[in-house]
Amino acid sequence: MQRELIAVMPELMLVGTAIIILLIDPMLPATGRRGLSWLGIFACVTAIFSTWFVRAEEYSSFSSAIAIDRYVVFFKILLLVVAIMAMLLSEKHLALRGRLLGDYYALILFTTTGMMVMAASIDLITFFVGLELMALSTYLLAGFFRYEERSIEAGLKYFVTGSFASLFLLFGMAWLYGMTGSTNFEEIGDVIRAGAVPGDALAIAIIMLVAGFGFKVAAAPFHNWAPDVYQGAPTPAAAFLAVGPKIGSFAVLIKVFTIMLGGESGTWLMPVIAMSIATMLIGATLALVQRDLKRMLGYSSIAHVGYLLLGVVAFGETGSSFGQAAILFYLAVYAFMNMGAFGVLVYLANRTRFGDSLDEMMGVGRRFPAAAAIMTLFMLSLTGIPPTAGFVAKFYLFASVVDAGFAWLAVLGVLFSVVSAFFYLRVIVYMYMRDPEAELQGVPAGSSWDLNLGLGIATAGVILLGILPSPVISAAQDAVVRVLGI
Amino acid sequence: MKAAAILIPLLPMTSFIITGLLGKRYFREKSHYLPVAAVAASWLLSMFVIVQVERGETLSWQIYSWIAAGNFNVDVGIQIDQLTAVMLLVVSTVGFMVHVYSIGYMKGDPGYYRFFAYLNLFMFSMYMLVLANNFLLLYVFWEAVGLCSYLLIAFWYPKVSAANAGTKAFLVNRVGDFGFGLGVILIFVTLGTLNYTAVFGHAGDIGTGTLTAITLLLFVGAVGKSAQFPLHVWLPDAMEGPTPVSSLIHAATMVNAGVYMVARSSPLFFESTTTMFIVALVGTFTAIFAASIALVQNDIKKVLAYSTVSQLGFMFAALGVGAWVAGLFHLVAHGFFKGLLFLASGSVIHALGGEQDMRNMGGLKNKIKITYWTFIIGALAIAGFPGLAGFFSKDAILEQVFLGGYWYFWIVAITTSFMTAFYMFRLIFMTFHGEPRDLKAFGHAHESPRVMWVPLVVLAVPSALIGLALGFPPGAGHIDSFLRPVFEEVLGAEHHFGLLEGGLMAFSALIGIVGILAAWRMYVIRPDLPVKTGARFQGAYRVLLNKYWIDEIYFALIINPVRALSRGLWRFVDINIIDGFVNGSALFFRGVGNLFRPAHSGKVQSYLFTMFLGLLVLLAAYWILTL
Repeated sequence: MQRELIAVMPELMLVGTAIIILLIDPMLPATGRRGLSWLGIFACVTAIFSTWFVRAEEYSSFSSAIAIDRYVVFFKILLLVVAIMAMLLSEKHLALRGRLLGDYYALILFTTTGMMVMAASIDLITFFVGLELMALSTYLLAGFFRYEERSIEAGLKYFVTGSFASLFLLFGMAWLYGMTGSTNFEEIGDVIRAGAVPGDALAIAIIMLVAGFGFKVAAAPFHNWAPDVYQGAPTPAAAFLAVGPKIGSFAVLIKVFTIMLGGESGTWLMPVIAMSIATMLIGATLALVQRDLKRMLGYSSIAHVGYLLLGVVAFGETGSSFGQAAILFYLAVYAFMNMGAFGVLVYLANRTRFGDSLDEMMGVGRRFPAAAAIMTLFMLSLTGIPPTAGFVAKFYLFASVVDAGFAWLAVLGVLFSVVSAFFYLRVIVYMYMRDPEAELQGVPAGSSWDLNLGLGIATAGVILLGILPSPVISAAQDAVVRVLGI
Repeated sequence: MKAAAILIPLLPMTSFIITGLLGKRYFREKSHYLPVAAVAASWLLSMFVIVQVERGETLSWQIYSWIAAGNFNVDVGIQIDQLTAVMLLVVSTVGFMVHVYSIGYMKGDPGYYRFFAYLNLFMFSMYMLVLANNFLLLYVFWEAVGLCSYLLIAFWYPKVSAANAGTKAFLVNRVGDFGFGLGVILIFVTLGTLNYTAVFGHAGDIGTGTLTAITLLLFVGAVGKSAQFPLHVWLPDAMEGPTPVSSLIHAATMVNAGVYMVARSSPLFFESTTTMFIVALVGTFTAIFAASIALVQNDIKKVLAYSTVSQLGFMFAALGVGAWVAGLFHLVAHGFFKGLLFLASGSVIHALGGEQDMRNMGGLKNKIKITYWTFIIGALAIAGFPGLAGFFSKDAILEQVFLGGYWYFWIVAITTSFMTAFYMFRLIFMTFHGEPRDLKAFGHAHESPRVMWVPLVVLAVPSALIGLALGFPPGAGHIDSFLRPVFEEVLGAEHHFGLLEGGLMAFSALIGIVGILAAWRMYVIRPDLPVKTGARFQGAYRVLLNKYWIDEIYFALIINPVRALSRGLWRFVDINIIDGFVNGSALFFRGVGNLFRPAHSGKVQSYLFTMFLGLLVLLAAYWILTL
């Protein structure tokens, strides 16, 4: 019993804190709510410690519903760091819009809990429960500015399309359960490997799962919602939405496609290849024509999902751990550079009447030199220019793809990243080389040091993972080699 | 030696940080003190290192392990051998002189501190590029020098053309880096290491196909960085940057990185005859292609830019036919005389208050004497006038191209030699001789301050003498024995200088002199001739003046289609088609539509529809594949 509780200790801390926040929030005066974000951050930090505490352990608990191992620890810590950054980015922004409410932090904690449960799950039911906890909370986060039409629209769109996707996943899971009589990943995998499952029916289940995951990570043709949602959602929430759910979904996706469906890669490899090409194409080319930076980052995140799917192709083909480790590292890097890029938009919106359009970036280099400098860093990292983290991540990922014998896919990937250089560079050009027709109007907001701290963490991540990536790469390799048994 | 090796790049880096942070507020018009001191110290240290290498000492030093994770290991380390020493000679000397020159040239510019900070950052990156001991580090600083180059091209960014030129350089170089990056990945996947020594040690173990793929991909990178056809388009535009930048980055150092990389990877390239031939072909073609454009350009810096492209082509032609040493010798000689020519052209532009069009110059030779005479030395050197640097280095290339049996390349190259002499002296005669065409600018013309003309004189010395010092006697000069250890395995036996070689040498010298005389006749004796010739060969003239319309072709073939594609995908796929489908099947979705109309979410139905369609496509694809 004790071991079982220890396994879910981080989740319990987050949920407990979320409930406390919801309870005390109505009793606090408006100014007192500032502390709530620190309560949430404190919960995440302690959760990181309690996760770290079991880093060397390997066991499953709650009747094989969840597992504790290096893989889970890697993802939990990454997700918690993302949650901390999200909360740091949010406080001032919410306060300025008059929506500094405890609910927001509770929702972030709930989302994070859901994603951590997903990462830890080794059972279809646990996985789905975690997924829905995450999904429902994210819909609310997207629509959190309920006095702004865009935000409501984003929340509602996310909700409708997301339910549709849950349907796909649930349908695929039901088929798997029906055919194998189990909900446990490994047991299902054993039955499938034994050849006791009709091929066509299995294929339908697999395609349902591919489509469902495709939606959750925003891969084409299931990507449409992403730019709309990121554009409409409150900017700090968009930062979180563009990063967290993707990490959580990839955590399960890798497990499902290795432990459960590893032997069936013949069925899912082709769809995933097609999806990754379409995703890179859509992401890179459509980002070119966006004038709204949040939409642009939305399409850019779609392109990055395309690269990540290449990693899925790599491990699907060879069964080697190279591709999985590359995905894990890429996700970590992606988290820092994307949170950072969105964070700079939050910063500008807090300091001025910034409305997210590219034209408003003109002159930012002169007025906010520090913000412009780190935005440049994030753009270079997203492009994959050394010595930023984005470069190491891309190099490692594409190397795994070439290693798997898919040189042509790597060529496509690098080609699309060349195309993407254009729109990332354009942001830098606008910041430094264009003079604004009218200066952005300032509001008396000023800066906030928790936002600066959040941006500092993202900056440090992008630089450190570029210069000293070894510890994280080792952790990623360790996570996949030891756990997935390959 | 270790201390010197690490200090060479670190000094400019430190100075960059200090100047970048404090320059604007504290140093202002004194911003050059620290940067110039830093590169001067680096220059001294480089000379020390070169002397050490000369004595036979080399260095291979792992500084720290950048990535060490299972099968993924990359070190950060420094390697110093004869090849590195040769590169250090050019980079440090021209770098130092350009810094000094910039004190005068950039005086009074509002971005004075920024300029020196960027220059220092560039020096750091360039030093690291040649000192790196593995391909990944090479790639890192390959990108870094690129970034500095864009920063400096777009230095005067309020000028739209400057900002655009920076962007263009960045994007065109991405295409080259795309190849280079893939090449590095392929090496890594094939051999599991990126360290030079380890990679070259296993060059023989790689299959021919893979090796050809690797070397071609690396060469794509070199084509981008060294502005070879068809990726040469960024370099002429890069002349929008301040002239010292053109001299340092776009003539003497960074553009040589491609040549350096191919020479460094000689054990790989040597094994693939296909790649070698392509390298020679691209080089030779670029040489004549760019030289022909240079014949008719009127912007003084554009002529020099196309000349650089052409001369880099010569170097690649040399590498491609296996004349490794000759290629590098030309790199060194060219670094000095082209650096000099750019600085001298900057002095002309400075004298005329910013004028760059040669049609508005003329008669300047008595007004700016030092500039004139140093310019003459540089021009004679590049034209291959006997005794000067270019004579020995270019001749070494021509000779080995001929002796290697590539007579067709030799014909192209010797024609290019003629063009080179012609366009260089066309430039000289239009600029310095004849009657002044713009009397107002002429009246104000004045010699540049001492801080600018001293570097010209300093650089004129190696431009004149380095050929004799390193390349005499031909084929057995100092540089041949110096570089031999690097290329031990890929060089043939030494050959002796005989009658045939002597004849070739005399012939190419003659060609150069004929080119100079032809320019003399057309632009000094009969100034009406150029117009008449232009009129008679109007078609050819227009083709050259418009640079073979390469930019326009790229717009038509690549840029516009990509734009159209993204717009098309956006309008069509994401809006029209799907919405059309939806409207067509309105019945099906009416229920859903009514449900969410209040939220203005006209698109939700189409999103759901796409998702559904996507699922159907996946299912259908499976069904078709398994039929």
